[in-house]
Amino acid sequence: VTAVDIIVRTKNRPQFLARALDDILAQEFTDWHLIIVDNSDDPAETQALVDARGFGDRCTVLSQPDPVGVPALSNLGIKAGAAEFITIHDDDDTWHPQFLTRTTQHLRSTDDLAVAVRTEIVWETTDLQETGREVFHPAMQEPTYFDLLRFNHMVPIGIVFRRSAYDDLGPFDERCEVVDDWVFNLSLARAGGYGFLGDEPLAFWHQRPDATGDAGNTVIDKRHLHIRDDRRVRDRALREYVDEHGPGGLLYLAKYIDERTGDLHGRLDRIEAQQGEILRLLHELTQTADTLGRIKRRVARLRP
Amino acid sequence: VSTTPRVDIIMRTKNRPQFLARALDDILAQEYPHWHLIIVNDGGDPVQAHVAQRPGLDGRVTLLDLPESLGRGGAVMPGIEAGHAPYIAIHDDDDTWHPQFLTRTIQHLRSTDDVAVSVRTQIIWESPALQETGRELFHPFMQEPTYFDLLRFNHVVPISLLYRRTVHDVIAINSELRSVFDWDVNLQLWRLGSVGFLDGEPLAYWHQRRSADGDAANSVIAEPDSHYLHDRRVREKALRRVTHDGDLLFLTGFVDDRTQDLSARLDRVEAQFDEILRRLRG
Repeated sequence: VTAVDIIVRTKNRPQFLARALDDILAQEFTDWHLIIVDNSDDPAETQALVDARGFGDRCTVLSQPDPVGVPALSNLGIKAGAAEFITIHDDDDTWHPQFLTRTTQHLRSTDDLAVAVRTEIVWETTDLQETGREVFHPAMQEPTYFDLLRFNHMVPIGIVFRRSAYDDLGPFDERCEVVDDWVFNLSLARAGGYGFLGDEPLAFWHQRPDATGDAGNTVIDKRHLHIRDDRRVRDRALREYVDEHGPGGLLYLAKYIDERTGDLHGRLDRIEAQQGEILRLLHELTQTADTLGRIKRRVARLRP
Repeated sequence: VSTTPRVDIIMRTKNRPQFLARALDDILAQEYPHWHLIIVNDGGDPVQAHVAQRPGLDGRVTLLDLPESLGRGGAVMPGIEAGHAPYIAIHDDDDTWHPQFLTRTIQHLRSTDDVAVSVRTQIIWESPALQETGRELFHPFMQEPTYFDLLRFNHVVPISLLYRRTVHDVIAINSELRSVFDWDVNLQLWRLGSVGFLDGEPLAYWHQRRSADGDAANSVIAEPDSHYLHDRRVREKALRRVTHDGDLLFLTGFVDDRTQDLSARLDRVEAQFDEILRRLRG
């Protein structure tokens, strides 16, 4: 059994997968097993990419031609492995060559359930030409449950977790289409489990703002699904809370905050009206100035 | 249409014959045939003639004449108790459905364990004489109604909902809540189990009249004070059941402080704009 299982989920984008496979082979740390969960229409294409790189027995390809969700693909891959550590390497993302070295070192020297790394966004075209970079959440000092309650601050490419943590807190929630990684991160963070390597970015989250379909990023291409699944996750937790504690406190807070922010909206309405009046008066002033200018020019022409 | 009815349609009406006529025609236009209509005449003038005029209603209607008005919330329970069908829809006399409303919602409840199903809804604006003046989607940005949404206010009106009769084993209708009784029911319904949502083409039409009052009015428009009062009562009742209020006292003070900060900023912005206006006006 190797130290790390690397799970790669892929579907109909061989040019991405080729880059991801080369990226994994470029890791300084070598005690890993690669598990490809292939959701493509053409499994032979995936197999050809693997064969061309001589992985030998370091790679397992699981063919899952059915249209199942992303979390189901992750769970399938994880259950096929046995390594102590697990990481999900999306087929469109990449790592720093020391990603596995540094993260496994951290997990071996601490009790943390998982470790996340500083992550950089790489903007690229649909044919994978880089157009820019920026650090993802540069102000984040460490992953907290506090921050995660609002939204996900970590992407799979920047995380390694223990299989024991997955057994306790997983699996990835198959009721979700898109935010399953956020839900899993919430559980890990709540259990106090996240370490953080916050210096140099060790993971690269590739995004293609113009792409749709197979080449798309879910956060860009499927924004409505994110909004829907985010709300569903909160709704399930809310119902559990209310079943235990009753709805009184939250029925109160919902209306109270609504009323307090309603007051502020009322103030802003008045300020917007003032602005409208100012713009109207400025328009009048400009017209008056124009007229004055024309009169001055005429007067000038009339002078002998 | 001899089959046992699968759905009871409860229709409350009071002294608005032109609405009732439209609503009866709307039900006759439903593609799905196995319904029974229960008209609750809430202390208004007789409505028997409207039923008799429509042969399609023959043998498919129960008419309840309430001797005195019980109000929107009060009139619905006698209607529900008069029926036996496994599904219930509340079709107010001023609203309308897409011809496939019952077909699609019943299909959904038959193929799932959901306790209820709601549909994408369109608001139809109309004059007191029922001339349409405009349409808009109700909560267009809402992808599906959740309990989360309901805590703020009601996102699902009765015309948009079909539910199982069995929910009344657990959920009672509180008629004292007047115009917010349906929100109170929804709050309980959404906690009881999963509620489906049929998105896409609107299947229910919530008719609203901005300018009407009296019998022709919409309760949410004509009775804002009543709405406010009863919304408060629902929350008050639930709030008094909380066992600890330390978190609520903290958050109330905290949110108050933070909004006061913003309010103070807005004071300054408003004062600056006043000064600008004063100078512009010379």
